[in-house]
Amino acid sequence: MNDPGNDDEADLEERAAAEALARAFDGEDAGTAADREFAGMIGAAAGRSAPLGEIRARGLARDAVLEVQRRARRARRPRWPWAMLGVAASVAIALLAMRVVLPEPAPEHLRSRSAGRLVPGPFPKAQTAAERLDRVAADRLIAFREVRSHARGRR
Amino acid sequence: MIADAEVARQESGLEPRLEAERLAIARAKAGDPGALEPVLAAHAEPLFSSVIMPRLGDRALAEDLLRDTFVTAIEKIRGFTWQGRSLFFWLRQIALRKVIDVHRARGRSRRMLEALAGEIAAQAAGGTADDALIAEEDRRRAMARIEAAMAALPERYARAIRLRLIEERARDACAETMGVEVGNFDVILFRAVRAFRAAYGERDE
Repeated sequence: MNDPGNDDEADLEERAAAEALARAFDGEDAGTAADREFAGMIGAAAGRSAPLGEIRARGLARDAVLEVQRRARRARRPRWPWAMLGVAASVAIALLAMRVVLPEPAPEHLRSRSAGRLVPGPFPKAQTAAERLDRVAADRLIAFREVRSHARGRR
Repeated sequence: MIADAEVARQESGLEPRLEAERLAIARAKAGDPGALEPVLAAHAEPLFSSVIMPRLGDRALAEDLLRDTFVTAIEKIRGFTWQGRSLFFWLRQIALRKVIDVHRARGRSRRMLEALAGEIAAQAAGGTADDALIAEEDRRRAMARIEAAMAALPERYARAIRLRLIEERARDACAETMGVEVGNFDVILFRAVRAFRAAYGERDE
C-alpha cells in the first residue's frame, strides 16, 4: 500500500489513473472497470445508486418472460428434420471417404501377377539369367505405366 | 370472478398483495409464465437497489443479473413451494447465488465468496418480515461489510471514500475538507479505492 501521507509523490502514470477514476465518478466512462465496480458497491450500499425505475423494472420482467417463452418454443420445435439432415450428411461423408480410401478394384489384367508366366521353365540354354530379369523388369515398367494411366482416366 | 378471489383471499387469511402473488404463482405453475410478470416487476427495485447493486457495483451487469434471476425463477417456478411469504425471499436467494457466480468467475477471494454465501443462509432461516424491510436489511448488511473493510484502511483513505462515494461531495469540496489540492485528492481517492478492493476481498492474499 502506498503511503497515504505522500500523495505529492505520485508519478505521472498514477496521477493519470487517479484523474480517470475521478472522471468516472463524475459519470464518464473512464478508469478501470474493477475500480468503478468497487466504488459502485460502496455507493449502492450507502443507498446512493440511482433507482432502477418502474419502467425499467417492468421491461426486465417482460424480457424475462419473453426469454422463457422463446426457450420453450425452441425446446418444442421438432428436431427430426435436423436429425435426418445429419444422418444424410454422415452417409454422404462416409461414401466419399470409402471412395477415397478404398478405390474400385483394378481390372484383372492390371492386378499383380506371377513373374513365372513371363519366363516359364525350363529356361532355354541360349537365354541368360540377365535376359530373364530384363524381361520381367520391362513387363513391370509397362504394367506400372498402364496402372497409372488407368488411375488417371478414372479420376 | 372478483368476488370469488375475495372469498379465496378471506379464506386464506393473506393480505391482498400476498394473495395476488400466490394466485400468480399458481397460474405460472399451471403453464402461464406471463402471470409472474407483474410480481417480478414489483420485486425488481428492492432486488436491484438493495441486494444486487451493493454486491456488484456495476449497473449494466446488475440489470443483466436481475433479468437472469427472473428467467431462472420463471423456469423453476414449478419447484417453488408456497410458504405464505413473499416470493421476494426466493428471488433474493437466486440473485445472491448469481452474484456469487459472477465474483467466482472474476477470481474474487474465498473470504468474499464465503461472506456472500453466508448472507444467503442468514435470510433463508429468517422469519416472515416484510420484504421491504428485508431488502433494507440486505443493503445495511452490505454496508456493514464495507465499513468493516474500510476500518482496515488508513484513516485518510477511509475519509476520502466517505466524503466522495458515501456523502457524494464534489471533488473540490472533498479536497478542501481534506486540506489538499484537487489533483492530490484524486490520488488519495485512487489509492483508497485500490486499498479498499484488497481489503474487501478482491483477491486472496
